[in-house]
Amino acid sequence: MIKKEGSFKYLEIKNISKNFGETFVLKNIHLDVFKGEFLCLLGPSGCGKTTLLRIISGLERQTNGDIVQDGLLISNSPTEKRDFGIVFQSYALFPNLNAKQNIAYGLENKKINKKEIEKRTNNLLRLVGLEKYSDQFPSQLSGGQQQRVALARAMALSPGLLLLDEPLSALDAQVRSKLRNEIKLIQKKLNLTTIMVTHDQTEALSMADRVVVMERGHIAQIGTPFELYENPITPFVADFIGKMNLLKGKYDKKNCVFYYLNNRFLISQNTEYSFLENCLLGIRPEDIEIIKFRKNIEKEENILRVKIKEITYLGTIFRLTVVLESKLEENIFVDVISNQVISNNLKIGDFIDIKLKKEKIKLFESNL
Amino acid sequence: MYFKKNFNKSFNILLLRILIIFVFILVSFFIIIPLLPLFLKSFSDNKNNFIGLENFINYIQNPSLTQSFINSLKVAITTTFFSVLIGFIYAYALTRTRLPLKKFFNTFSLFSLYIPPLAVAIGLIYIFGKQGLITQGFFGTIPGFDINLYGFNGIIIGEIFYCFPQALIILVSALNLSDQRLYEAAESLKASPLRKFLTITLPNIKYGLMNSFFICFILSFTDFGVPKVVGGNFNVLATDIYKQVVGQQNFAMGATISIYLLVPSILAFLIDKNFQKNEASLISGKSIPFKPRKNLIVDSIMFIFCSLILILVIGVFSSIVLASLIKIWPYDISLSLQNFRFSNVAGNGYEPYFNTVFMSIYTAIFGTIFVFFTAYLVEKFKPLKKIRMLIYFFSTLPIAIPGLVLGLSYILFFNKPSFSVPFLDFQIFNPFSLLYGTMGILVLANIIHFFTVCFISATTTLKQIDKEFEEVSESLKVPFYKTFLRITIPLSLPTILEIGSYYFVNSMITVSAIIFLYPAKIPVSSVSIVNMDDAGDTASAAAMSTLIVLTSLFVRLIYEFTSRNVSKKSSVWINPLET
Amino acid sequence: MKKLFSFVMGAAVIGTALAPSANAWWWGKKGSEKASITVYTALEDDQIPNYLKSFERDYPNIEVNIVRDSTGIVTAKLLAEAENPQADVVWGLAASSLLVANDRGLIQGYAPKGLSNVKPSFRDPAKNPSWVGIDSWISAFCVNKIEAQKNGLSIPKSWADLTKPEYKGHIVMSNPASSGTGYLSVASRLQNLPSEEDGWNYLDALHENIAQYMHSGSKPCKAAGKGEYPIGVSFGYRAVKQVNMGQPIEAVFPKEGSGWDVEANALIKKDKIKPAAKTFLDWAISPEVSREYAKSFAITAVETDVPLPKGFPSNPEKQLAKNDLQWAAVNRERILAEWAKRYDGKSAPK
Repeated sequence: MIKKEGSFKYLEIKNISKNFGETFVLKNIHLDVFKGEFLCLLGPSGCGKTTLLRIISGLERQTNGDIVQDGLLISNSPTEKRDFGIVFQSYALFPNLNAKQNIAYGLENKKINKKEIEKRTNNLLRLVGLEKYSDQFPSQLSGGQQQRVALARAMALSPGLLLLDEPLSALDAQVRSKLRNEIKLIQKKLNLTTIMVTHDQTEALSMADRVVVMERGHIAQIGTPFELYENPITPFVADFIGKMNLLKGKYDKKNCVFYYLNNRFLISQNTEYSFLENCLLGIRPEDIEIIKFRKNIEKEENILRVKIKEITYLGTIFRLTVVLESKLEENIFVDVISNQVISNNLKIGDFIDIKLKKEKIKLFESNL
Repeated sequence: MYFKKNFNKSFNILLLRILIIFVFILVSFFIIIPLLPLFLKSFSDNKNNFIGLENFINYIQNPSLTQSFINSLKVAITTTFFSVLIGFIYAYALTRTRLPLKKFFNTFSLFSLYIPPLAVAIGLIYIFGKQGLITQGFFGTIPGFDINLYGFNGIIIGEIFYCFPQALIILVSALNLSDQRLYEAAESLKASPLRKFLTITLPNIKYGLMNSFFICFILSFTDFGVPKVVGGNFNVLATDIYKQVVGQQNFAMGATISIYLLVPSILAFLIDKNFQKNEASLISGKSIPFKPRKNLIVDSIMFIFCSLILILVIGVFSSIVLASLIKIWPYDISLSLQNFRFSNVAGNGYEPYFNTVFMSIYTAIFGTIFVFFTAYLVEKFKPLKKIRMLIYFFSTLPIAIPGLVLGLSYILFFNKPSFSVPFLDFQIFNPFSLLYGTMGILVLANIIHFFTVCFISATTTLKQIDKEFEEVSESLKVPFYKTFLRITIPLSLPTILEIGSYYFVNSMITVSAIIFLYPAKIPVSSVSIVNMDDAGDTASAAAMSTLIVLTSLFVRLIYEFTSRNVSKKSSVWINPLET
Repeated sequence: MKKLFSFVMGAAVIGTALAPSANAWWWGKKGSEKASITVYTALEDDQIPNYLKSFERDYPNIEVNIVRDSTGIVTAKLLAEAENPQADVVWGLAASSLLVANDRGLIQGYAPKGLSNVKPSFRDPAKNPSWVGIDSWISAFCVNKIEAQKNGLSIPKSWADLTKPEYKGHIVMSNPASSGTGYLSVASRLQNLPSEEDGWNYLDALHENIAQYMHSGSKPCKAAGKGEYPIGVSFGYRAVKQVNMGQPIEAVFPKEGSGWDVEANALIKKDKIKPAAKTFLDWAISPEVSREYAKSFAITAVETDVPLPKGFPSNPEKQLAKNDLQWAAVNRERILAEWAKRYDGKSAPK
């Protein structure tokens, strides 16, 4: 985890906006990236994350705002004067150059002697584990190998900043998770400030030091993966990072009670919610317990009687989709460890009681 | 406060802007500005007095001239239909079937494009004319058959000869871009061959089809060579221009008719452009090329079809060769080679031939460089969007300009020693006038005359090359021109070669644009063919045509050889891993 | 990759090797120290070298660059280049075309040496004539004897014969709108019948028999020579030439007289008129070259002792029908408009 205080701000994005006529793609983005940090821009397609990356690289121009990199104002600098390396989703490897030539492409343009180029290229090939493939053309390499060539090429000029635009999305699951670790390792080894764009929350959570969740052109929340998961500040973030059940109801501030249909839930008093009556209750599936076989049910709080609509096997856990009899169209998800389901012989159509853990309940402002 | 390093100005972007503006100026001066005097002429009488729309009104009120307009439309529509149909079947046979002798059919597919239009007419007359082989039934051995060559029929046949290879070029490349997986998917759904054709093949090539419709329509609408020779009394707009300008020196009316000629061409252009806007790429970079399967019935039908087409083309060519060897057709059929010694007839022995070969080489080299570079600047970059769009528009115009009109407007523009500035008593030297009277003007006229087809083909290829290559290069601090030389050109080499050979063969046969332009010291063979034929030396004209055809064929063989080598090399870049 | 690159470079090197500035293909035949003049002409290609022999012998220091094309193209080129004339001299172009060019102010009057030898009707009467003739070309019919026989046609002897019903669909003629020869015939008919009205009536009747109006003066005769059509209305030199080539052609000079035009020379008006241009014009009407003209033309502007070429009528001057070149030039636009109204457009192929 990164210590924010005292860390060196390597990249400052100040009030960046991008619009085409009336349509805003990005609106007033503020963001600081620290030296050596691995930052993920995460969001659904169309949220502006790729545009932000391209503005940082200079491939696209912001309408407003400034960018400062390593103490230099680069807002209007052309791409080739900025200090970064980039890997595209498609890799964009030059098909008529072999792996080695692709990596050396940027070096050859600098006034470096051939031996030095050779040495650096070989180092990079070793770094990404492709020493044996230096003479292969991109079409002769597998997807993962191509990805590694693209990564090595992006790092060839030892840039201060590495930009990755959905670098893993074209790969199959196994290669992807392997490469995640490799990229992360290389990044840490070189202490290379890195910004990665992705729409895959697992990828973001597993790789990033900090994640920037973006929604419709603005930043929804910035934080470490843990912070985002544990303390999402909007229902969007809550549901985009992991899974969150959201129930719409009324909040009685005085008594710390939330009313959902005919049910009332006690809310932990640790947090002060400032907003008014109408709001959303959020609870993650794993924070709901099944209490079917417990006695003294009457004494327990935050109980709902529901009907099992669907059972999905997810390996170590089952995800149950349950509904209230009074509101059949609203699904509530409950994660239960597998043997509990098996031992209790839960079936679709069964009625069960579930309990929402009081201390895990969060309330969100309803934007409706 | 931050350091504000003074690196906001990028040399590369500046260079790029300068290049785009430079190309814009060139394209304007070579395509648009020469047309302006012509445009003005259409509003004035022959003494250069401004008379407004009078010429246009006179034209519409003259029933014989409006008849020509309708005739031109008829010719264009019929030609387009048959050219695209034949071009499509031939292209289909080359790309989607196991046609026997495919290499042979491929090499000779553009054969009819190598024959100068006048020679096509000579050949057609020898076969279908009143004394033609077929009309007379091979000297009376079999019953003859008269197709009434002179007039509509003759024009259509001649135009198809010229247009169908153009459609073929476009459709072959369209049909080559296919995805085997789509057909496999359709097969697994038990789709009938017809259904596969209608739902996969046709939609995939609709853009190519549209383009070939467009190009055939305009070429046949504006061509004048064929109607002049076999048109008989069937008047078309292009021959009307000839009558006005050459027969009566009525430039104003000639200019007026040219404007009318431009109208449908520009309409067709706009329709095509609009269509293009809706074009989405159906084929992704990861497509698997289609591999045709054996189908005895289809393959043999295709074989018969392609053979028939080639037999007709080679038949016409053979009769030209025959014409060059025969003493007096059809009365004294003794053979001799003396017609290949051009010393005692029109046009300075072999000099025009070599002039033409060099002119064509220059056109191929400079034209290919210019066209490809223009397409590259238009297609690959972001700055100066409006100017790039204008360059694109200008580049697609030349196809709508008939060669005759281009030639005349080039005289009017390039032979002007200076421009006068309006309202000021001031003259600016016209630097382009230095080209007049040199080979340069011929090369330039050819480059522009055939610009559009080459430009479209270059653009299509560049579109298929990942735009991110430029962005990656920028991020690697490699200037765009290095990437152009090291990546873009090698990847486009097959297309570049094709553009070069297209320029070459067209320059070998072209007459209409350069007949007004060729300088006294540089006679060219396509013009001397016209002159020899005029002087009654049909045999010599045929002999010269034979030489031209053989030269183009030779260049085509070099092209085939080179491009085969190139594609062997580049296959390793393009074809996916075979495992 | 390296190889590909070197291929591209190779192409570039070839390009430079062929580079425009360095070689003759760009500028044309290598120019020498000689004075050079550019001559536009519509004379037949195969005649030109014979004519030029004596010029090259007498003036070895003058280089002559010939641009030869059909009358229409040469005239169009002259007019299009009006702002910056390329030609120094026009040699053997139809006088009617030179009248048009003169009308646009493109011609400098010049009286060449030996002008007095030129017959008065063969020159512009002005003191410094804008055009001076060298020969006259006259209309004639080319009749293919074999095809005529095949079709059971008698050989037509006169303009009047051509309107006989038997020739229907067997006659081709130059289109007056695109060819000077065609106009020659039409203008002559209009001037040589009692009234212009009668002339048009004649052309109406002729139109009934015409299979095709062709876009060149020589083409009808060529078509006749190849047997495409038995009868072509063309011009005398052409007919005689094809007879001499061995084609089964009979050259018929119509009884009523032939239409005719003069092939003439002119000096092009430009800022710097080269002395060599005048030298050329002087030479072009010299007795020596006139003898050469006389070998192919029955009527020359300068009288010579050359015997009449084979195939022409014995008294060619008498063969000339009444023709006022000035009238023909002035009324051209009107006549062609009327002609087009009557016969063009409607004449879809039969």
